[in-house]
Amino acid sequence: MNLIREIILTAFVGILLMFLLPLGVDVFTLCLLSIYALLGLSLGFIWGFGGILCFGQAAFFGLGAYAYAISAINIGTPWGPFFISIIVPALVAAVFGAMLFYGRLNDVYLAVLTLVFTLILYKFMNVTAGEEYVIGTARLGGYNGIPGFETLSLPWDPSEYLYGESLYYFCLVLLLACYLGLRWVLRSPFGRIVVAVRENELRAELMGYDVRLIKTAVFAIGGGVAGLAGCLYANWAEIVTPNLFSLGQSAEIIIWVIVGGAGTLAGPILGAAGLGYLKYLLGQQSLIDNTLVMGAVLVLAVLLLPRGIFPTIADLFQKRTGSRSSNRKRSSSRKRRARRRPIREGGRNGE
Amino acid sequence: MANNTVVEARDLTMRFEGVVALDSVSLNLQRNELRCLIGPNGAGKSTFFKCLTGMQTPTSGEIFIDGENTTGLSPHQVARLGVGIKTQVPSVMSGLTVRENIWLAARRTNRSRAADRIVDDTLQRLELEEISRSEVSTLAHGQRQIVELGIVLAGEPWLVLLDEPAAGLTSDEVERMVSVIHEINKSATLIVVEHDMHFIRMIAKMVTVFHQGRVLIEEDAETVLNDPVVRDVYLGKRQ
Repeated sequence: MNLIREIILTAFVGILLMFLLPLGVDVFTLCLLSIYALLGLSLGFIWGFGGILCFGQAAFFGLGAYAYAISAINIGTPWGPFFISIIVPALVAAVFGAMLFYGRLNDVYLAVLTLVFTLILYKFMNVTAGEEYVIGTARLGGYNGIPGFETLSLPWDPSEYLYGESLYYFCLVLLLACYLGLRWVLRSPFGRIVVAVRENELRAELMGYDVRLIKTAVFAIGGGVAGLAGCLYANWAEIVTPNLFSLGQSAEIIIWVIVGGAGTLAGPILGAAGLGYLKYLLGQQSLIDNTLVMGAVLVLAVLLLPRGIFPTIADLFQKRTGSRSSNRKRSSSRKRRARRRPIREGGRNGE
Repeated sequence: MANNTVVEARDLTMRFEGVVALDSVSLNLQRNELRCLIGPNGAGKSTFFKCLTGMQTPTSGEIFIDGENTTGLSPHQVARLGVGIKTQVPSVMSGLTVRENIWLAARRTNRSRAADRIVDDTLQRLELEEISRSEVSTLAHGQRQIVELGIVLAGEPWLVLLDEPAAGLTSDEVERMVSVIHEINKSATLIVVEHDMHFIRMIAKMVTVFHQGRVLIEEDAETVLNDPVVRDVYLGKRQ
């Protein structure tokens, strides 16, 4: 019952925001922010709940974008590539994750290897300018990337492309669907086991759970969501370049999650959209360097709000409503006592 | 292997870069037995325990649990044979509630509703109902030990391996632990690694004494605890 109420409430808030946000910010920017939010959500899930600190989440984001662009050029229609762009990063994450987790690598090595993985992709994609780097009919294009692929259109009317406002609504609906889907996963027995693994890997294993398999599955889900974000990015930018795999991109995703609040799903969404918007605003001025401000935000957030923005706000809200409701309880019980007293007194008087 | 033998270790040896922690240890355990493994620090009992549970792979030798060769299996594979394991330092999910901890153990072999029933039974059996909604990180050490025992029991094991279950418990909690161990022993085989002689006196039937990586003596509790060599090993005297 609680879950249904939560889903309805979240969907309501999400839909409300979906229609209110365009009143203040242009849909082109909002579209990118919702893509960032989806990317932040993917790392928020695997790091905050699975306990897997992946320094290379950008790898799956880039793979999703490239998988979409390459398959869209080869297939010619957009919806097959849409699903391919989710499946390919999820499969790559599953294989790569299996190597990491079945190899029993600890957290530090895992972080380093995931970082190296995205850097290899970055370097490789940068040197694919030659004509020999072709997949089907799609040239990888090296530093220049891949432009000119078919973007998403309405399934029943291929001439009606999703762009501008319609792409924004599509992105936000997918973000909402992924958020609710991950919430459902976390509420399911599987999700509770995922959290158990994060809390104490040895204990989960001694209970008989195959920790390696569970972590691989979590990593693959995160890879799929990041891939979806990559696909949407490809549709938004209408070009994919090796910069999607860059170190800066990977670092930014981690900053979003830390500032927003690891261990929650809404925090990384808030962190990604908020910091993405800050970056957009800073991009419009030339007084202060963008990366300097982002670094300062991270340092301040870690020092002042170590748990992140969302958990801090949620706690404040809970305390306030908690104290209000306990005040209400106290005053209502006072009123009840006050109401009862005259009756008892009346009774005694009557005796 | 005799039919009634449920745990058999054959010539287990464990070396850590030149240090021999276990030196050709063999041990047999019968169904429904309660066996205590004792010995001073560094005797090899905890290493032996870790080899049994799959947390460490012996350098040589073999382990059979219920006829199956478990040498080199992962802890989760050993646990799936129906083995409940309690570690030396309470291994619990600190950020989750007591109920959630026990539920996760019960859920592995049961569907959610059946798991809920097992959790209720376990909480009642260990008198944990009052703190069932408390986060484990807020509990005292003794309570965490009991919670971990609850996790072990909720998996409904037929073989229970306990590493120092009485460590850090108050005398009341020790008594409670003793009664729980006796109760578990009604339906399961038990191996208890322990340090505390007073506790061993309360629970032990058969005792295996480890010393310098070898089995020193394996006898009933009374004989072992009155053995002058065992006393000397514990007190560090020379004959």
